[in-house]
Amino acid sequence: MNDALAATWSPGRGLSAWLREVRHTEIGKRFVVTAFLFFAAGGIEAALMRLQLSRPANAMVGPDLYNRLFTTHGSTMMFLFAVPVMQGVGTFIVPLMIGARNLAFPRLSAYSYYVYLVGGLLLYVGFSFRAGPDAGWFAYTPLSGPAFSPGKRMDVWAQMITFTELSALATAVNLVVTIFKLRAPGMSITRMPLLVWAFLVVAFMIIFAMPAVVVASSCLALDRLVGTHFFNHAEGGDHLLWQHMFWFFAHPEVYIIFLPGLGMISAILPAFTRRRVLGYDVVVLATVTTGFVAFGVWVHHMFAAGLPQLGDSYFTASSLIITIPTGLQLFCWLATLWRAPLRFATPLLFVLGFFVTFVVGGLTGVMLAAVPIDLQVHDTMFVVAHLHYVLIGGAVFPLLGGVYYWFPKATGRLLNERAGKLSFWLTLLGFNATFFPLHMLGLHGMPRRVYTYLPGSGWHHLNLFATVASGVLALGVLITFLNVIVSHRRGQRAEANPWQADSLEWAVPSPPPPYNFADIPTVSSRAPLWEEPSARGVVTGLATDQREVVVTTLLDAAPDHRTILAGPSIWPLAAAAVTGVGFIVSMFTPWGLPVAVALGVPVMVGWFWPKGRPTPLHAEQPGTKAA
Amino acid sequence: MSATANNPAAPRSLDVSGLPSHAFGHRAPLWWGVLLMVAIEATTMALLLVSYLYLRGNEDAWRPVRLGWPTLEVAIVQMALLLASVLPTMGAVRAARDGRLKATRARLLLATALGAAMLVLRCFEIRLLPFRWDTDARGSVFWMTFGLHTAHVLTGVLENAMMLVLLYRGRVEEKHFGDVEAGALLWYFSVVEWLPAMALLYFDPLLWPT
Amino acid sequence: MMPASGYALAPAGPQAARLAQVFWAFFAVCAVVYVVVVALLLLGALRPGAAAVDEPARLRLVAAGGVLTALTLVGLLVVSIHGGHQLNPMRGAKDVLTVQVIGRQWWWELRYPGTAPDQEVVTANELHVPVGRPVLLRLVSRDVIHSFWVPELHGKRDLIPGHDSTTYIQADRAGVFRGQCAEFCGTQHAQMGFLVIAEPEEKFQAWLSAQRTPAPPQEALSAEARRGQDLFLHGTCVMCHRVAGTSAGATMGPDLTHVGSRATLAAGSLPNVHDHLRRWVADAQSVKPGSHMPPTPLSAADQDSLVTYLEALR
Repeated sequence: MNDALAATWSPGRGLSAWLREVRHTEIGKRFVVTAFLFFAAGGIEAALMRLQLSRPANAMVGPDLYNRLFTTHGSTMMFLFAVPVMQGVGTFIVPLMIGARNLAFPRLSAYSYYVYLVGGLLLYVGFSFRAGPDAGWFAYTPLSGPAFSPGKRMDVWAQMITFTELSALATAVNLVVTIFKLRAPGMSITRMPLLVWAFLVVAFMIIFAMPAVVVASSCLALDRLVGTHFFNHAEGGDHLLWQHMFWFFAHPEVYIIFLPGLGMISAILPAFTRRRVLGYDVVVLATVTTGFVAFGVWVHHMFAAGLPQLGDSYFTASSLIITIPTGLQLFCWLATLWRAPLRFATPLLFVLGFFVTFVVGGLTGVMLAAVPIDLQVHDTMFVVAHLHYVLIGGAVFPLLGGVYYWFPKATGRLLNERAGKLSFWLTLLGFNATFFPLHMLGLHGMPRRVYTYLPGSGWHHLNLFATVASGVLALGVLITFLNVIVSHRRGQRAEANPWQADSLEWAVPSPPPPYNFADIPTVSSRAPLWEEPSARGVVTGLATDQREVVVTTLLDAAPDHRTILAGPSIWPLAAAAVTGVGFIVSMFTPWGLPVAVALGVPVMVGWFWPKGRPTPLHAEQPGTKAA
Repeated sequence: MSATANNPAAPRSLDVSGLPSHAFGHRAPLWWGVLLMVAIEATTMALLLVSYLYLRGNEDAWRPVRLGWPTLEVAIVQMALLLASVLPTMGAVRAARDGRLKATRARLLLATALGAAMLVLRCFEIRLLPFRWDTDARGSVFWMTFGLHTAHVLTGVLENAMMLVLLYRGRVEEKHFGDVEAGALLWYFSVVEWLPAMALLYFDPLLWPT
Repeated sequence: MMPASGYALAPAGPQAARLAQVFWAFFAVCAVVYVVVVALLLLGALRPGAAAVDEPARLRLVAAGGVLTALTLVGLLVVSIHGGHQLNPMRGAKDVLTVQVIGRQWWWELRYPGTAPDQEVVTANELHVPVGRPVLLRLVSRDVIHSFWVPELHGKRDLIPGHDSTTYIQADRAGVFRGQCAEFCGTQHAQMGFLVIAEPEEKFQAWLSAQRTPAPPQEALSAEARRGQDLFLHGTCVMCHRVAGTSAGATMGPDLTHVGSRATLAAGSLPNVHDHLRRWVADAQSVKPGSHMPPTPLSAADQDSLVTYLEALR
């Protein structure tokens, strides 16, 4: 541990330091832990739903509770787990992978976490008071509007959206600027790890997609609170406007969740194949292309709404085309691992599990892109099967692989390998056994979002099988949870690079010291830790008594200037509190927003006002004559 | 430790102590942060304008309202004030790049005053608008777009005000001049975004038959 | 026993048949692709080989894979568009039967227009159609978004308030086909089913004529049924239900003029037999909690009479 750097970059002790934390490693861990807690909650909701559906005419869960369960399950998984966990992984890993000491805007990352937490708590406090939303995670109007959803349930939903989207937008801005400007000298944009590319693309997608759901949910909240008519067709509004705006956001959203998973595969494969990923340029182009095309497919969620056929056909084409870049990434990975000396550790197993699982979802996605097929299986259990195959297969499996892969880096201890392998097999088998039957149920006429079904429907046996299988899936996930809890204290200690991996995060001790790198590295290849020692370099000349870092140029990462990063601060928490109060009060009265603005101004002043040791002063100061 | 003939395995060193401690424009992280925030807000505004066009497509349900004296004129004066504020903003940025404190803050003060005047007029316009947000869907879209733009201008004015207090009171750090340029991005955006928005919200109804 | 589900791959009409064809074509291709991908994965992962990697050669294979993917997708696109184009061959046919379908929380109102306003047939949750004739459905929603779906006849179409739409169906064989609402529409979305009963033209016309007749007059009813009618007309039922030929004319709930002739109750949730009808009338909330029908608190004898009356409304 470098004492001078430690003194400068350490956060201090106690609750005050914990609340003022701005280290990306800590904030990243908070995101991931919180997200997995919400994942567990969502899993419990799913278990209750599956229990209710295990028998026809089951009286275990009534319609109102069931509708709240599936709404909360979907909202939790999409808004409180899937995106935040990727925010967390990105927050933790990106600065380490690019050789930086922190994100570009440390306080913004803290704000991002706190405001996410507020959103999550809002949803669950609402749920516990029977004020949780019940109109689906997609909240179609007019069902979600003032006429058919009285009370505050859907207002809770709309504001939860606001908080989680603010959080994601803040993380996105932070990631882009960090990736653009804080890469280690020599890490040109074509030497960046593929996972960093994935986060860069995802950050841009968040920036252009999330405003749509913020606008949509705000318009819904306004319709409900102050009588606007965005979605009131009697006064010129339009229910299809909701659907277009929501899906314009929500389709990129699933790729926002999915692309980091793909990036994690690119990050994990080298260590276990002892090869760099083949076709770096192809993977980068494929990621970027997917990011763009993802914005052009949203109407495939609306094929049953009766839009003009020509438009539908265009969206069939675009929804099919998006398969190509993803397919190319898969082919590159296949080419990477083809006949390589694989080490079948748990991270690699989850990567292989991704292949056999996600591809099923990708292929049912190809089917759903076809309007004729979609018209039959839209809004049925077939789609439930598809979405879980792509999200769990495509994002959660790589994420679990990532957990086993980076846990040693984050905590300094390895997860138990035997438990990991057991967890993998149970998760793989349990998942497929739970969700594959749902394809058949959909084709046999079982719609989504139904709390019960008739005894004569013939849906009983497959539903019962799926419910039992979901227990196996839950057990598999539980084993990983327990593995984390136990190994955190008693796992085998990990060195800096237990996997002999190639990227920069493995150059720092496990867990990383508060300053990450004792010396910022210079980079001359795509696999810095696999370089020859003579090719390695370090940056010197940065101050150790201030949080000084080197800012590099966008494309070539040539050193450009030095800057001071922000240190621990209470203002992110204060800002999140103001945001929280403002938007929660606005559920009840429109005066919430002006109050939030009024409170926000002093908080912003506090946040931005210069304090502590100033950066170099200008020669001319107010009140002096010009030199 | 740098590599030497005796110790070739030691890493080579790259000394950055000679680099400047601040930068302007796209070299600065804050500039990118503001630019991306502008991208978010621009997307939001674009979505509202697209919503306007989408709802306008429901011709049988669309009820345009022609704004006349004095509402339209007050709006045009506001646009003129915003456009007028662009020049002093650009001037402030140029002075900031040259490190001229007095010129920077004087020009920024002028730009901020013009922006504040625009906001005052906007308060009057709010009372002149002949429809409310709950009158019909067109009213809802109008008020939402109007409100979003007002929020952008208000944020810009407040941000400039804070910067002005700093520039007039001290202590002025070198990096604050770069911050002036970054803040100007938000200001330019607030002006430019209102051009298509005004065209749709205020002038498009004039094209509809009464 | 009325069907409680429908199987999209057991088509009974031209549209569902074409949709099933497209499905099977895609399924065949996708199954082959999956097997190939998994085979490649296993072959590549389970046979460690030489350490040297011929990168250019492998990248060429990646490119070939990309081209193959693209070509396959183009083929599938053609299949999809072709399948979608041929979906409504009955457009412009001469003998189209028009039915208005009004989706409401949580039941289906069906109106068959006649030659004059008083010839209109109004029923609920049971769509009778003649075999072999195209049926044009005018889809309207009175409240939230619903979706009309009969898997064995056609894909689904949403009923969106403010966006009335039309779709065609056609049954090519006689039978009873299950339909279900397929867009989450609130508390009882799960129990918003309906039946499509396809019968030969003569039977259909007979049914239609019978549906046009008003309820049997007082004299035609048994004593018990007359008691039931009394309870009906002087109780809460008339606040929501209509029985043509009586003073009950409310349209909030389903038209009950011929409720006795229907195969199911509560939007396809219960067979229309005595005990179920009794239970439904006495306490609808125990069948469909959250639905808009309140319980009817009556003595057991009164309930019997009321049910006898409803059964007489054939």
